Amino acid sequence: MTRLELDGISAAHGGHPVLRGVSLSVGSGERFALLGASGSGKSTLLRVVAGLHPPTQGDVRLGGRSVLSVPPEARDVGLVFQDPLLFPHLSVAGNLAFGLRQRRVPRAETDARVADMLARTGLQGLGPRRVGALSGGQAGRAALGRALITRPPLLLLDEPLSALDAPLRRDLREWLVREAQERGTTLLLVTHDQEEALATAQRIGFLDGGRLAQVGEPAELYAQPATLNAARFFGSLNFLPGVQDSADVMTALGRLRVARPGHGPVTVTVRPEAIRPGPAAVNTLRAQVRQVSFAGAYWRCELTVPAPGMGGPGGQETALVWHAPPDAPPHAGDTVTLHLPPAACWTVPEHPEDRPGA
Amino acid sequence: MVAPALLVTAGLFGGGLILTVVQSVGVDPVLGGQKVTFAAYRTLAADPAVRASLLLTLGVATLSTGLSAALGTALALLLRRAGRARLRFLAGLTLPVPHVLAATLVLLTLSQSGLLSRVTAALGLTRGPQDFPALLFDPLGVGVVLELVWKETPFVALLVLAALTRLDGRLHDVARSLGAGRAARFRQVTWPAIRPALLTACVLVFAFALGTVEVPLLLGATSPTTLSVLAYQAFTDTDLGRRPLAMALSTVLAGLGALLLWAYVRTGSSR
Amino acid sequence: MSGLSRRPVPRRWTPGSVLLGALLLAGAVGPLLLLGVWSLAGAWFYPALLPGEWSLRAWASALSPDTPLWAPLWGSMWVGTVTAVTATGLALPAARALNGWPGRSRAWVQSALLAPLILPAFAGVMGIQVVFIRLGLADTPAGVVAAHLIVAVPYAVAVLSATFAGYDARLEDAARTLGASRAAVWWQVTLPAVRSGVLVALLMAFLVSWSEYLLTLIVGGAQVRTLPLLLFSAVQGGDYALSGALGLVYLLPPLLGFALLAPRLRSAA
Repeated sequence: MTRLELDGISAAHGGHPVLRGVSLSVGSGERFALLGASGSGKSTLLRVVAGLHPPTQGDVRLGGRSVLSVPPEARDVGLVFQDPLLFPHLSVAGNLAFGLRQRRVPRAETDARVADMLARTGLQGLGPRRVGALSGGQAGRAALGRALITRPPLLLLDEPLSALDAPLRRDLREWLVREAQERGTTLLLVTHDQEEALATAQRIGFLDGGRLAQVGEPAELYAQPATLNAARFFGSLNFLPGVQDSADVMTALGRLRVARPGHGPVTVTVRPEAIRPGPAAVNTLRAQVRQVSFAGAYWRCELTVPAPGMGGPGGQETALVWHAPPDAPPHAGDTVTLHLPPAACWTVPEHPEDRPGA
Repeated sequence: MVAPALLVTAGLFGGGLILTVVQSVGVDPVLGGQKVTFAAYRTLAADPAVRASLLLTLGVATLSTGLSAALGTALALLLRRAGRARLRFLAGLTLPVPHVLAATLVLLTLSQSGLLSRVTAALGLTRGPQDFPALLFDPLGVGVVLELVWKETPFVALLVLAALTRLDGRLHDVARSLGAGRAARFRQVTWPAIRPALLTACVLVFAFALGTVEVPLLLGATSPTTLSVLAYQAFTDTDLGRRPLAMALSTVLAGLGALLLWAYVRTGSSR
Repeated sequence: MSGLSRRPVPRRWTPGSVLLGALLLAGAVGPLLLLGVWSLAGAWFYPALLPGEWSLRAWASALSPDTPLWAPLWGSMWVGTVTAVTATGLALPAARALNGWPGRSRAWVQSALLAPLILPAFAGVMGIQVVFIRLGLADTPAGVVAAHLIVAVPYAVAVLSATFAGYDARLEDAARTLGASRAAVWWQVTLPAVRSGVLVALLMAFLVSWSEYLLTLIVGGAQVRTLPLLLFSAVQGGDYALSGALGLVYLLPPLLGFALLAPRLRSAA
């Protein structure tokens, strides 16, 4: 139960900059998730907070106090890694007791807390087991239990248990959120898995190339990404570069009414599930269905919008992806009428070619 | 963290090597002040016994390395096939046997009055000790080679076996599904997997053969003898004037070792 | 291990493996038995296949209080133990640091640590002997240990490097975040996690020292006596019965160590 503040954190790895001026504030008892592709600097950020990696610049404050000079063992920050990393020479109970032993907790209390944690993690009776004999799920729970048993006010999770299969991971996550809520533990989770972030966190941040590109509530990052990469990361598939003039953007499709006014070069992103069948007052287009594939909750349709798209000048042939509702799927070769609701036409102030290789 | 260990291997040993070179050119590192002279090297170059010794040394090292490598690889493949810990243990039994003792065993077994000679006599194949081939104390160093092969074959085998164990057995299945026959599978799957380990083992065996003194002293001829024995004899000679000779011989041997190390690192990095 | 389990392991002793076993027995154990027979031989002249006369003479003379066996046995034990402990102690932090050493300098450091495995050790020891004489290390067990370390440290580094290659250094990070200081991490996490490798390194370093002949002779003169020196002179003196007895005494400790640690050898090396 503590407040975490990062102030302009930069860090390097083998001379290469990994984090560039990350500032972030996580409230006491808040559950925050940092999302980002692999290599975006997520794990390094956690190591900086834990004290395992010195930043080249910036400050880390816990409960308002700078902890840069505090060694990791004295920060009282729990860290759960991607792998369980149980100590191979200790029993399950020995692993759970490790942190308490470092804190010189009396034997009787240690035993009681270990027994309690074994029960909470569903590992009753496995205390004397060697950790090599545990299943993946049991090892994951033991690792979580080991980090939680010292009741750290701040718990860092580095793609925890990503080696486990999905249902197991979900169970553990739910259990972890309950435990954290019960104790008011502040949680900072890094992951590349949106589902995990959404299920765990109250707020999320998007880390891109060592910079914090956006922070907000999950729905916000979904619907209103701040950058192209954020839009891509959160599942937008349609990108239409153009030039905005107040409420409209001139794109390859023609004149598009968008969610917010502006001026200058922008890219309009439209999530594939936001495209609606049928005509509307604005942003209506006729498209040819190239390919249809069943994706469970929807039909994935690849569309070609022939020039001039929505009519008017400047149109040219454009490809779009549409997630059609499951009830009445179109067929390949059909021509369909669709519209892009202006509220779903989100603009980001950059063009795809601005950031090669992104 | 590496400093203490480096103090021994680079400081003590590397420094010692430098002092060896210094003393080989006639300079006493403690007293100092003498003139640098290459007399010791000239003496060595002019001595036909040294040339014979160099040939013998390289011959023994090459032969024992080649034989240990071939037998060791075969043994590793057999052990792998048998897949039994007890056989592996048996094969490893010669590893902890010190060389002085191994040389003693070779002596008791293969000398002209040794056990094997007695067996051939009992079988009527030989009629007396002199009838049995003189494997030991011979000018070609056969006894030395035999001792080295006996000791080093299991060493090679265990290194190669470790590499074989690390090899994912499914690679064989993949190769087979791609149409590779037995020979092709060995060439394309097994050989590349064991090559680095075999190379390392060969370098270590060769290096040991270059530097061993007790084995040629116990099993080799008095003349010619190996370079390391010559160096040792010159070093322990009561005539201190022969010290620079010992240092020069040691320098030559260290040079050979350095060449070996250089070749090893190069092959290692070109892989 | 996993590689083995994928291939079918024969359940019964096949003729091939029996033959291999017989060959190994003859090649490895046979000569060792020969030592035992010789040590009990009273008289064993050519061409007899077995001693004509059995006797405990060799053992009696080897084990009697005034024989020269005890000083060398003690010398070998002392030098071997001190060398093994020191070499392992020096190699441990080096091997840990090499694991995850940044950049290209790693190959250089590694070469500098392992060079005495390939370059002849005596070449360096001969050169440094003048310094040892000056420092009073010549002809002393401590000087012999110093010389043995030159060969023992690289072996220990090699063994422990292999151990650390399979060691996840993040275990130490996990321990730090759980409240363990650097010292506590070393004693409670690092060392126990590589315990097998440490034992193997100790054994290897001990074996290297126990087997060393030439370096002991160069540095120790005739003053530091060890078993290989004694055995060498017994063999050269032609007393094969005594050689057999001494050989067995000489062989027993390393063989015992090997047998005890054999199961760990594969996992650590």
